[in-house]
Amino acid sequence: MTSEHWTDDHELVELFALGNLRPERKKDLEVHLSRCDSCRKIVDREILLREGIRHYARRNLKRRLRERLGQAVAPVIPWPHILSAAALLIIVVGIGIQLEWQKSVVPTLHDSAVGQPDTTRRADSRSPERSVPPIEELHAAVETDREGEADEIAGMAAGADRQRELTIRDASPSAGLGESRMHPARNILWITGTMLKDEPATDARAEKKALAAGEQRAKVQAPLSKEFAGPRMSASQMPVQMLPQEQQAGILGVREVLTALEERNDSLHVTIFTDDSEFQSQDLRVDAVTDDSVIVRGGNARVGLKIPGALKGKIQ
Amino acid sequence: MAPPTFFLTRDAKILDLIRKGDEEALVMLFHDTRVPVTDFVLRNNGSSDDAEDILQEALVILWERVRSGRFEHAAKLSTFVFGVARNLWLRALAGRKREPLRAPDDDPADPDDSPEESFLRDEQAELIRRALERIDASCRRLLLLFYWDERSMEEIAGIMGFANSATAKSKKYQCKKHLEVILKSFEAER
Repeated sequence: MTSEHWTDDHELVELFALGNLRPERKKDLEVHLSRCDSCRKIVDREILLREGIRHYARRNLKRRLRERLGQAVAPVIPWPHILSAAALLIIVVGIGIQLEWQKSVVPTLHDSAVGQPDTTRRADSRSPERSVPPIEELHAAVETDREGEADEIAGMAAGADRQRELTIRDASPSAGLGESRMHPARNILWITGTMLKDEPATDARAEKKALAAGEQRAKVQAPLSKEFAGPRMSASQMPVQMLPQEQQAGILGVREVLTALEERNDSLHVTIFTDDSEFQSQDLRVDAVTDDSVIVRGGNARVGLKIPGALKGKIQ
Repeated sequence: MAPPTFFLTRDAKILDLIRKGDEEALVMLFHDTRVPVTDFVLRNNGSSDDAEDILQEALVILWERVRSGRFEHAAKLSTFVFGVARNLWLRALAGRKREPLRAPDDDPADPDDSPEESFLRDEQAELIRRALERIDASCRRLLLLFYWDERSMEEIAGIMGFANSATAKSKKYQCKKHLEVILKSFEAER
C-alpha cells in the first residue's frame, strides 16, 4: 500500500467493515483509525452502509416469512385468554338475547284500540268493526322498564264453592313470575289473567265473598257491581293473533288470557286478548272490582285479573 | 436427472435449504420452535405477538449465520433458535427495565454478534432502504449478496452470470457509487 491512509483502499475498507480481517491486521488498522478522523469517517460510512443493507434484507426476509406463515399458521392463544374470551362471548350473547326477547315481548297498544272516550269505549268494544291496531304496530317493541312497580301477584282462589281459581301473573315471560312491568310512557301493563268459564255470580255479595275468600289481603274498597264499568274503567277484546308471535306462543295454558291494562288520564282500560268463543266482546263489561282485582266478563266467560299495585289506587 | 437427495436428519435438510436460499426452511423451523418459544415469552411477561416477533428475529439470525458461513452446527437447530429467541427476549426485557444484560461469552445463541447494529439509527436505515429501492434490481441483488450473504466476488460472478470476479468487482463499485449518490441526495433533503 503506497497511500498514507489505508482507507484509500476500498476493498480493505470493505473487508474491515465485514470483519473479514485477521485480528492482528485489524488491530493495526484500528491504530491508524484512532489517529485519523477522516479515515474513521470512511470506515463508519462503510459500516453504516453494511448495516443499512443488512437491515433492509432482514426486514424483507421477515416480511416474506410472515406472508408464508400468515397462510399456514393459526395464532397460539393461551388457554386463560381463550376461557376469558368464551366467558365474555357468552355474557354478551346472553345479554343480547335477553334484550331482544324483552323488546319483542311487550307490544304497543294502538291508541285507537283502547283510547276511546269512556262512554264510547264499551260501545266500540261491542262493535265488530271496531278499530284495532295493525299487527305491525303491535309488533313494535315497547321498552320495558324495571322501575315499574313490581307487584306481588299471587294465586287467588275466587271461591271454593265455585272453584274459581284466579291466578294472575305477569305476562312478560322475561320478567318471571310474580313481576309485572309497566311501560312508563304509555302506562301499558301486561298481565295474565285466568279465563273463568263457569257461571258468574248472580249477586255482588257472592262475588265479593268469593274474591275475598281466595285472597285474604283483598280488601273490598268499592261495592262490587256489574254496573261498575263507569268512567274510570272500560274493557275491550282483541283476538290473540293480534299479539306478536312470541306472546302468542307464551300463552300455553288454556285458561290463560293475556291482558293489557292501559292507564289513560284518570281511567283504566282493559284489553283482553283471547280467541275463546265463549268470551264475547259484544257483551263485554267489568264484572267486579276489588282494590286489587278485576273480573272482566264477555258473554258467559269471564277473565279474572289481579291488578298490580301500581294501579290499585286508581281503581274505584 | 439428478438423483433425489436424502438427509439423515431434518436439521441437515433445513440447513441445505437455507444454503440454497429456500425460505421454506424457516417455515419448517418456525413450526418446530413455535410452542416452546411462545411458552417462554408468555411466562416472561410477553404476549403471543412478542413471541412470534422474537421467533422471526431468531430465524433471520440463523439464516444470516448459515448463509454467511458463520454458523457452527453444534446443537439441534431448534435448540439454537430457541436459545437465540430466549436471549433476544431477555435482552428486550432488560431494555424495558433499562438493565444491562449480556449472554455468556461462549453462548453460541447470543445474537449480539454485530456490535455496530446500534450504529444504525432508524432514520438512516430508512434512507438506505429508500436508496436501495431506487437503484436497479441487479445492483440491489449484488449488494445484498456481498453485504448480507457475504459472498465472495467469485461466487457473485457465478451467481449473477458475470464473466469473472473482476467484472463483478467493477459492477459492485458502480452500484455502491450509485447508491451513495442517491443516499447523499436524500441526506441533503433532510
